[in-house]
Amino acid sequence: MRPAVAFVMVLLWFSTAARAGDVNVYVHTDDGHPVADAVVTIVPASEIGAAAKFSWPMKVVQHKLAFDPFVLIVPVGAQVAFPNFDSVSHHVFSFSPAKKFEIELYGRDETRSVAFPTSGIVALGCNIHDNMSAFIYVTDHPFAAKTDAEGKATVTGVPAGTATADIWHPRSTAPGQRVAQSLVVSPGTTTLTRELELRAQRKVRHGSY
Amino acid sequence: MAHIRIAGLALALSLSVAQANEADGLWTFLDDFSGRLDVRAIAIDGERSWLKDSFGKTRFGNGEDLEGRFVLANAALVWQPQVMDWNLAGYVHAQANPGQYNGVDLVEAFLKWKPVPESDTRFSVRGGVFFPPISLEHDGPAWTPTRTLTPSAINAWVGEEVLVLGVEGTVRTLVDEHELQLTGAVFQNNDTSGTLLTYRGWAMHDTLATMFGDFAIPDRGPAWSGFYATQAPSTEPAREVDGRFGSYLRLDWTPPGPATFNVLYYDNHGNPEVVEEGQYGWRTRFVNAGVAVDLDEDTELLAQYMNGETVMGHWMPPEGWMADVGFASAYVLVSHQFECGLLAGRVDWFEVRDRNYEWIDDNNDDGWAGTISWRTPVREWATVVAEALYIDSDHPARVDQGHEPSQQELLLQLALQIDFK
Ligand SMILES: [Cu+2]
Repeated sequence: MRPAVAFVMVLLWFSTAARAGDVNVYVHTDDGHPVADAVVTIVPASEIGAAAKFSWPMKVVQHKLAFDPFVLIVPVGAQVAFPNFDSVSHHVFSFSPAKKFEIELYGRDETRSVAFPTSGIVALGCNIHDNMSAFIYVTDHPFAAKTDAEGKATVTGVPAGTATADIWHPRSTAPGQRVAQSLVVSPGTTTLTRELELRAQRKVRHGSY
Repeated sequence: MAHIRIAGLALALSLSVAQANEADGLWTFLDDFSGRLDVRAIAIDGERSWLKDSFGKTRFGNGEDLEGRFVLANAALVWQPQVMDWNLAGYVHAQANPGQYNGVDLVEAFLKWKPVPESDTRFSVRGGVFFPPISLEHDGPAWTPTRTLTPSAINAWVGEEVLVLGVEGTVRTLVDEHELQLTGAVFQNNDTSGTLLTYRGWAMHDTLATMFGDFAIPDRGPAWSGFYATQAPSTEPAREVDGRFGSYLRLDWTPPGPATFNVLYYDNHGNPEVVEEGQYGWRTRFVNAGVAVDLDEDTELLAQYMNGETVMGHWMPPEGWMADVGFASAYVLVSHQFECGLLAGRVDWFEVRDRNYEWIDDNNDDGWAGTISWRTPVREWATVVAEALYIDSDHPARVDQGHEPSQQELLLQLALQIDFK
């Protein structure tokens, strides 16, 4: 790479960084309860074409007969690890169009990896434990985060200007489980609050049979 | 020399690898086992238990010298091997307790085939010995209730007299956010189902039928013994006498929202005229309806209603079958999860209606019960449960043993449940 080109690129990066801001999104139900595990994606009106890359670990752990995390955002093409920390086996599967797979994970720390080359939502299940459930949100948008227990998601480094906030939750009653709303991202911190209607949580009641 | 040394090293290496594999294999094998130990302290104010040939409806009653000491309520071992490549899972449940006929006996043993789902429509098949899916309360290890110590009258009866050897298939699908599940089975080995319900009435306890065990029928008067001369003094719950197949069908409906509904119809197609070693075929049929609702995030309501009938023996004019009863019961159980434990309260109602020969054997039974239970985990592997069970019942056959037909029973239990995993 010629030094001049590199210099221009650094300059460009600084100029966009200067015009970028953080977006705090608060998601709650109509009775004010915070909604955790909602995926917030900020899509700038003028797409900047940056590749998605996230700071959290690309893994879904099986621990105490549950998946952790319940929702994992990964970039398209990500390699996700599935470590089994339980002493019992799990048989993880998905029949979602974005990724069909099954992996057998025997007890005591066995790990397998799976690639997710297509954007979309991958619903995970375990064929041995009916009540195990989780979601992998495969996206090619770089500005995405999920809400924490307080219902807050922070998306950093979003280019200032008009954008769309896209919010997805597995139990949302909206079509496609997602709602969208436009916003203007300012260079500092932009705050957005959004109400989400959720379906009641469904417990699996199959007893020991 | 060098060769020998290398060969020796290779041998030692491969041996240690093999050993490691063997150890792994042993660990994997042991991981398929889990267990539950249940020890109790009890206080009683009620008649002698049906498990001691009387009409007491609780598991522990007066006259057993149980107060002031610890009682082993149960020691259960469950083996759940997996063959994931074939989507096969095994389930074998053995248990030991002083109350059952054999010191150690098998309860359930089945093999389940459950292919990995490829769409929202999923299916599974299991074959072996199991309890039909009736109880909403038994989702604990080794077929134990998880909200109370003592299950409802309905599910106590399922646990003692509705254990089948059969093949069961299940299909589950989603239709517009409504989950529908259909379960059907054909079975044998449940011909004597109804014997205890008729001769003893309803009861509330957590004793389970075992594959090779039996339960004593309460002692009755000489008229009864003469009338039922060919009936053995005990009943074997997992017995096939007529060679016929029984069947059941269950439908589950879970609409969007916090409630799920199910209904089951069971008919053992027993031949009431067949008797083998004192074990009669009983024609037992019933409908069970169940509902589970999450009232809020921490509060749950379970309810079941069962209504059925059973006949046994020969058709004897003028009144008909030797035994012919209708039975019904219902309960509502509400439980609330607190930070430090689970509080559960349940009200049961039950009745048996004798339809003939009441002057020889009056099998009527009426009553209600209240249960209150507090469950708190003390370690990851240990739980303490305190429960009060009160049953008020009217059972005319108590007169045969010289007791008042109307009895009030109170059982207080403090349990320590230890789980091995
Ligand atoms: Cu699992």
